[in-house]
Amino acid sequence: MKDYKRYIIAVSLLTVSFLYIFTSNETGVARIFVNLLTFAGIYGLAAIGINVHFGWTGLLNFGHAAFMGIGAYTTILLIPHALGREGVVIETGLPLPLAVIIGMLAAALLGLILGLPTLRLRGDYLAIVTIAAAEIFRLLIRDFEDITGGVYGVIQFSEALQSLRPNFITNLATSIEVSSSQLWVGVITWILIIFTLLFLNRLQKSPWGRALRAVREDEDAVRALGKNAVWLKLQSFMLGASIGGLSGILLAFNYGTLQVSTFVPVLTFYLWAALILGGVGSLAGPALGAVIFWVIISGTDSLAEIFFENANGQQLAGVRFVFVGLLIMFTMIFTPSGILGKKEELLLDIK
Amino acid sequence: MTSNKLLSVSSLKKSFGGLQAVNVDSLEFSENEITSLIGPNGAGKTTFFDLLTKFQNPDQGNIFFEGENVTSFQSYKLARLGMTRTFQLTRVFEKMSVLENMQFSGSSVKNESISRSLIKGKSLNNFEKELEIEVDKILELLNLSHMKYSYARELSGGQKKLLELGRALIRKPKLLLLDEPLAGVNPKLAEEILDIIKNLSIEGINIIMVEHNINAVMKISERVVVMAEGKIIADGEPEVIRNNENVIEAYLGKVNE
Repeated sequence: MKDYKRYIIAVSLLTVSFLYIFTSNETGVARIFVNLLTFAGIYGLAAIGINVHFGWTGLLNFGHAAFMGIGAYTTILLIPHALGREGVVIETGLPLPLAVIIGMLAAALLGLILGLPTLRLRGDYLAIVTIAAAEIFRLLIRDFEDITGGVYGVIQFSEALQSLRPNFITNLATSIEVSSSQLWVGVITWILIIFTLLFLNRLQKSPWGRALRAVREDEDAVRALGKNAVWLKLQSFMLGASIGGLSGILLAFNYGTLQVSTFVPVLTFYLWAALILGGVGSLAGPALGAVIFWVIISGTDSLAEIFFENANGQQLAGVRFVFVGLLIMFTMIFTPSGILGKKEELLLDIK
Repeated sequence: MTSNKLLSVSSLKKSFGGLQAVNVDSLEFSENEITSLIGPNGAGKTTFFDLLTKFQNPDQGNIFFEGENVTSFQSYKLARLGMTRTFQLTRVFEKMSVLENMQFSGSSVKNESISRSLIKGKSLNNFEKELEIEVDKILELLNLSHMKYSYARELSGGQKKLLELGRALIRKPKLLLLDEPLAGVNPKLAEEILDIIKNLSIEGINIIMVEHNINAVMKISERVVVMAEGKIIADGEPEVIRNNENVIEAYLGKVNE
């Protein structure tokens, strides 16, 4: 399939689904869209991180939620916040940009710690280790209640971001009747996606990106040519982890509270769904996949009425994932490399 | 024990379970020669290669490269010293173009650092330009110029062998270890590859190769080492080897039995 055809498919899919959301909701369309695009952006950014791991380097990372979590917890605990249970506000903290950078570095550090012993493994072993590590991380966060708030979470940290909100965002939000804080998070998310993609585009076309692709293709050949494959994999792992960390921070600000239950394994699998839909290995694919994923998640409620009369929440949730599954199946059948992926670089043959 | 030879091994052993795959007491490779390693299937030739290039760790024994004990080196470090190998089953980067395959191999580790790659300064760009000129020369030599922008997986089996050879050459190795460079290659292309190997040797690259095509081996080698059941059973000039009884026995079985 030619590249431009892929973009036509992408644009028409989005148009149809947006139109559908417009026509099927009488009120609050703006709110639905802001919510959808903000979540999609955050998931997209996280999926871009997985894409660096899997699409570029061939690393099967099923523990991305842990990278998102450590990024979020590190940053939020460094800025003014209150632990959920006692609600004691800690008013001192680092400035937000600095805390974000430290959060991303913490995610990269976790990548290094996880990667050092495991990146000598290949394919499925790494997947098992990462998924287990992510669960260990989540349970530790839950149990160290004094530091992390445990199951009560962390609250009252949004001000650090919302105080930076320019007036025109607030005015815009008021005029289209959406939450101004969510609109602000959404705008920042998509700006960060653009910067991340520009940054990654430069790297992908560089000798470093080329070396990662070589690792993805054949690690032994890489070693035979005098390149340290493990170090290249570690770098990729750390870069993707820090992008995941950034998206975790945004996710926390979007929810307004930081809950450990956000970073359950299923989050990682949603990201994988977005990645596979959008196109493994392509630059913008994961972001597109995340938008489509969220269109299905937040736009199919009225479709559920085909199956159920007055569907309840549980039934709705089920129907949503029926549609996600169907779409993944159709994608695999008709364009197995994802909507924006290159057929020549189809990557589903894991070694 | 040190040696002034290019590459030498002493009491190199490797076994898998009860099978002694490699058991070589002492072997030296000198500069400026083409050495062929032959032997029946399962003789331990490829394992020996893997040990030499540290793709597998020996159970015991030492490896010296240019007088330096490299036994504890990792494979990529050995490759950086100037020892480059190819594989029995061709290993090209299938989903990268021929050009990218070559560029990756020729690129320096320094230029593959993430910071230099991000900044993309002048020196990096110049290096990449010069590298491409170098790539063009080698592709020309290997008759692969017309495939420069194709994905490597679109190449035929023989062309992949050539690409793998080219990928090794662009690293300007001191020692080239070729694992069955002629396997699955048609006779005409095999002739071409032999010519290329011979020219490389004349240009001063030392070559050790594992090969099953006896005619080719006899024609091109200055020295032939024969392995059977992990041991060296004969070592000498091609003519001597051709008439060696042990060798004939290993290949054809014992006479009068």
